[in-house]
Amino acid sequence: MSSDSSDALARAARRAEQQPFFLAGVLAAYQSANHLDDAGLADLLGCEISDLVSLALCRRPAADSAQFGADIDHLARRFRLRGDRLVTIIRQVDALAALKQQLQVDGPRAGMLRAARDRDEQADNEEDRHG
Amino acid sequence: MSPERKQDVPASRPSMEQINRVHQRLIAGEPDAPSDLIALLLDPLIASLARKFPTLPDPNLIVDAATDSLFRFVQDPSHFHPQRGTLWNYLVMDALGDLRNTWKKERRRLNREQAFDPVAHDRPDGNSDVEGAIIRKLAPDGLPEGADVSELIAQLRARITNPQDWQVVLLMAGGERRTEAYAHVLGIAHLPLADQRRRVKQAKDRLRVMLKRLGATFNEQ
Repeated sequence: MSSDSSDALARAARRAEQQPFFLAGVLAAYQSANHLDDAGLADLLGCEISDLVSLALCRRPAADSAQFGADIDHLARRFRLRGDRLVTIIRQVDALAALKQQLQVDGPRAGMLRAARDRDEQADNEEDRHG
Repeated sequence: MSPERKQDVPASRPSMEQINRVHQRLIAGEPDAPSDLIALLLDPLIASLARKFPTLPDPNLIVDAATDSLFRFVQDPSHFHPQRGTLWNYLVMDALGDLRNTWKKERRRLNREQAFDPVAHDRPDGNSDVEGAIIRKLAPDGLPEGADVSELIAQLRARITNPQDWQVVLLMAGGERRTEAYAHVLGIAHLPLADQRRRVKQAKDRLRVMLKRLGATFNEQ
């Protein structure tokens, strides 16, 4: 994430991507899923590209919290960004995370179903051959 | 060799009022307070730690220790008790503890990975003198007066970002000549010997050029 910030601050923002407390991970996940570079993200949010590092190091507003709206308004005022777009970004990343989790849960089960289906097909073939 | 040195706080440390103001916003739950606190304190913390640990081979160790300390604090400010001291001192002490642990791990890792002749390079206390070995190769007659060893090492370490390349530099500094030692750190030990030799030569030549650009020349006699 490029900006006018110090190198250390930019490195911190990249490190923050691994910690769910910060907005950094949300922004990075959204950029990755939508093939957006920093300029594209800043453009979408309607903020300065130089504010992205600061924004990344903010606390991530929790969508299920009563504070969510107030937090979004606060960040929108502070960075003069489009709060509705930030909400969209957070919700989309949350939805992606939920989907990934669902696939991980369903993955082994889907494998078992496929194995059962394979066994059924094999049995059918055996039956056809024998009679 | 201990990399630590006693040192007072840096001049760039923000005022208590500035720190307290952002701290209060953090406690109040403002979502941009973590960002503001990190922006306010990260560089001064790094400067403070860098003065206490002037000879670390990798300057990013300091940056990450300061960063992690701030990350821990903004995520759980309740660990800090104002009656026991200032927030600045708390953060410095926290980062120092982190850095000491990281430094110990880094030294263990370097000691494991470097293929130095243990008899030639280990100190009586059992610690390998990595920096000394590099400097002896770079400047066998000693560094010019005023030259800063830790700065030179830090520059090299910062410029040679690839861990494999750094291991090759350490091997060169240690006078290692066996192709197999270089092939091992380059991850090409599975290749035919002729290919290993060619790839090792390419890597060493490339690093010699890079070192020369940095104003350093290996004495490999």
